[in-house]
Amino acid sequence: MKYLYISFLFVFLVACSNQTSTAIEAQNRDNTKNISEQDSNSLSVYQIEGDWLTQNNKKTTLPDLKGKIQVVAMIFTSCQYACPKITDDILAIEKNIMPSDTDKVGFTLISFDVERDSVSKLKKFAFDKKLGSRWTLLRGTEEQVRTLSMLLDVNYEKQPDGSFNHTNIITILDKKGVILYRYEGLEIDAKAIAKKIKSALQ
Amino acid sequence: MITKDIFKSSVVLAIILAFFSCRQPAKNNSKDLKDTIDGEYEAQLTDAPKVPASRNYERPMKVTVHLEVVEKEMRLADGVTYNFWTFGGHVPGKFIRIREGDEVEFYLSNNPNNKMPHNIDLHAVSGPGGGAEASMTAPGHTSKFSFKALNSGLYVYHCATAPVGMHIGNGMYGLIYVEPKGGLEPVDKEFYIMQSDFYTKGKYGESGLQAFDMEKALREQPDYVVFNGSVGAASGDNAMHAKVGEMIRIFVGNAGPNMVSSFHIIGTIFDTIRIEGGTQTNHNIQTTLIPASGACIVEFSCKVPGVYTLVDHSIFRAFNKGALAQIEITGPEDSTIFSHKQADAVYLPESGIVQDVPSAPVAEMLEERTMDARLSLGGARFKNTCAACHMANAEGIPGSFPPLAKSDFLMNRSDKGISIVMHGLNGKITVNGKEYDGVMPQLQLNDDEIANVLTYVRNSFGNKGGLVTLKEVQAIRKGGKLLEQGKKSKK
Amino acid sequence: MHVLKIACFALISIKLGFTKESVFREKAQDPTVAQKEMVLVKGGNFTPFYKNANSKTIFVKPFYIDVHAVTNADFLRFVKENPRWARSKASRLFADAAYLKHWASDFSLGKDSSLLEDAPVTNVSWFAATAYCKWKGKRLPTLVEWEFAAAAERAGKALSDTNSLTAFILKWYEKPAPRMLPPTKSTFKNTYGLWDMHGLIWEWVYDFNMSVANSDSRNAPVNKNLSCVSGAVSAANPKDYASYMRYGFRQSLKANYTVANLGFRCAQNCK
Ligand code: HEC
Ligand SMILES: [Cu+2]
Repeated sequence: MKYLYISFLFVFLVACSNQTSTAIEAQNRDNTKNISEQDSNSLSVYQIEGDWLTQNNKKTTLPDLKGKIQVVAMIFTSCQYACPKITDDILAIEKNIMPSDTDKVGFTLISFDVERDSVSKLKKFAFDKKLGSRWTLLRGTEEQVRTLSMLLDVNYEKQPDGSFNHTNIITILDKKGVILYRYEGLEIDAKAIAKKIKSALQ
Repeated sequence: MITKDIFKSSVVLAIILAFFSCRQPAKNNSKDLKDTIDGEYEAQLTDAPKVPASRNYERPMKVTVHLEVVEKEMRLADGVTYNFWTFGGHVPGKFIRIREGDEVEFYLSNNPNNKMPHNIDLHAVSGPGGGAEASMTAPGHTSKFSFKALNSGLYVYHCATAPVGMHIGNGMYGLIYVEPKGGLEPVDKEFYIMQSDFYTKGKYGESGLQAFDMEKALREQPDYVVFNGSVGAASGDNAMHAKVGEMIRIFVGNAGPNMVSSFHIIGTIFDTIRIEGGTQTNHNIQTTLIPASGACIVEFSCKVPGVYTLVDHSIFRAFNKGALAQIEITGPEDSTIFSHKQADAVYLPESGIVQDVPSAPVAEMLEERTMDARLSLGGARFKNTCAACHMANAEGIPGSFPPLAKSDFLMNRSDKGISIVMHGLNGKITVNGKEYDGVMPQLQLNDDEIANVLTYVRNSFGNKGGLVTLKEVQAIRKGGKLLEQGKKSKK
Repeated sequence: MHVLKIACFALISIKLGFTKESVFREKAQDPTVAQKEMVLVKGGNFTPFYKNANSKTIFVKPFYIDVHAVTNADFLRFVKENPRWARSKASRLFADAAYLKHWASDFSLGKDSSLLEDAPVTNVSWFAATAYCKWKGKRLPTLVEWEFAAAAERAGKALSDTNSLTAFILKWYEKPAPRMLPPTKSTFKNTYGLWDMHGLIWEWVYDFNMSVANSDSRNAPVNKNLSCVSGAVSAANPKDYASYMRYGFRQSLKANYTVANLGFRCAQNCK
């Protein structure tokens, strides 16, 4: 009976937060504009070393992502709802970016599923979702992925059935890999984010 | 099977409820100038029983609030300490006062020496968790979040970190007042009082550092129910003060975690209460119910000076667990409202219940005693019964209790004082030239005992009056008179 | 037993050969040196505090874990060899502003050094702790490993005395931290031979960020269909509020955070 009430309460609270859950724009890092060259290197997410593999079976490192603004999310390809949704959200951002800027922006998905998301699985996911040439899908070791999740402030946990519990976060990185913005949740405003990216490019 | 159905329907109900209960921020299409932010300031926070002054402003402002969580050992009662978890170093937490429409930028800091993460759920916030998730803060860190105060009212805030009951039980709560547009009617004095219950390993009053007791908390059996975080925090030397006739407003909160408060002030009536801290008012209220994690604003004035006691009128909490606070009202008396005691008369019914007290052995069984026997029995009786008022040396207390030693009043009486001891005495009398106007109660002595004590009194302390016999006492009891005639008593 | 251990070292050494894969650049020390200070936790079935709808118990593989938490003296040695982890050098991305704030300077514990040396190092971030473990040829224990090791009763106490362990833990949780932490090995040793699993400091674990549950403890994760989050988390034992508090604490952290009473110990794979 006790549990009945507890579940009652949970559903109540949860339903409530669902409705209002919209993307939260993370604070811009205190004064991004004034970060010196050296600082920006030391604040770069790309400091995580190690090799990764792309959906095209190409060996790569995170610093290879430098030079473009990157829109980044962590996903796993067998995910039923949230990850396809995040991917769609990023596609929507891509659509809202001015054609003149498209070469200055990259889109990167990193898989939680180090065991099952093989290169071919990543490739298939990219194909199914019609992810173009500006997209990079990466697989790495569990340790690399865990460390990246720490930097991107993404929580995740592997479930006994092989799927993952995770938070849904889209991160915008500058050309050096420093976090510019974070968006949490599944209801993002693609137009507004595209605008932010545009102004960051200037 | 049935449980399952109940479960299902409860879930459905919950969803429906959730759907309706989620407040959508009111859409403000008419961007009235009145509602746009005009300036900013940092909120001045106060510890109970103080309340920040109202900053009467017309248009909403941006308000910055800085609140620090401090874990520390403090006094819970005399000789008893507790590891409190606090918003601002005291229990209850700091009082926050803002205005409807204000935009609040909230900084919650968790002191680096703290052991626990904490957060804050402000009931004044419209949004998931009331800010709890946004403000989850590790020791040595500060969280920032913002909200718009959409609804006016008096709201509880509390920590909502797991296990929530323990964080509240350890002292993590306070009040935030969102003043309605236009403000409240000004009053002379404002105070902040918050009730809460504590669950300690030891019983009420057991000294030393007391740990939180989850078992008692689950059973909802508090050892302490207090105002403002400790026994005596708002009474005695810490009492609140006001003057006769001043309009007093108290912002009252109840943190629980379990108890519901029957808030009452002994000796006054609330002129106005703002029910549950909201917009509706009620008048001429004696006791108002404040739910756990609820609040109320009470307004009243005291017309007569004195000490007024605030209680949770679930009265054992007040007198046995600490739920007691005081306001001392000073100023001139007004006897048309309250006269204080004008007279104190003993009520001696002709055949009241008092006379049903198992009475003395029946007269027939009593025997006359020798002088020596009566003196020794009477001496013991005197010490036990009479000395409390007439003093052991029978000299009495000037102005209050007349002397029995060498008392002309006693020694000259024809009844030897028997009727006084038998029925009590009431009214103005003169003893050895001094006036007394007190009350001596009826003493429930049997005839033998009366004979003993009067024999003793009349032959001690310099008195010389001879034996008082049982027969004499019985005669008076029957309404007769003694043979020896003396002066008549005034009575 | 001894043979098994040696075999275990050999395997670890081989595994550590792949330093290319390492996230951080710290060179691994010879792990056999460090191993002396570790014990083997044989593993077994463990019921985590937060259980999933589809699993009640988790099988924990055997692992090695440090007998006591890493001390200030240990960490000073690490920082001296890896100056990029010095207080003034470490990037804010990897350690917040309070990193090693209780030390006098980059490479000195200061006037209290005699007291600090054997005390557990605190004010260290997850990244710094991870780097230290790497340098030692070790790793941080996983959340499940740590909880498994920490669930053991105090050595010499009757098993029926588990309530008193909970009471012991809670007493510590309720109190604010002392100005100066006592040395390691000053609280109690559990039946695995591990010191101070409770009552001295909080400890980092490798996957502390695995809880997806909302940090507002009253909310359960969202509806299954809306995200990849599976069923509501529920406490294995609702009365175990000591565990509640540990999970709550972890949820308040980010990997670059440093906290005055948060330290760590290292673990190592066995096989
Ligand atoms: C509760 C206090 C109280 C006690 C007990 C008490 N008396 Fe008195 N007694 C008084 C007061 C007061 C008066 C004065 C009454 C008056 O002013 O009318 C009084 C008056 C008297 C008087 C008459 C005045 C005088 O001083 O002669 C006698 C005699 C007397 N008491 C005897 C006794 C004896 C004997 C006992 C014990 C059996 C006793 N009292 C116990 C309060 C007490
Ligand atoms: Cu708290």
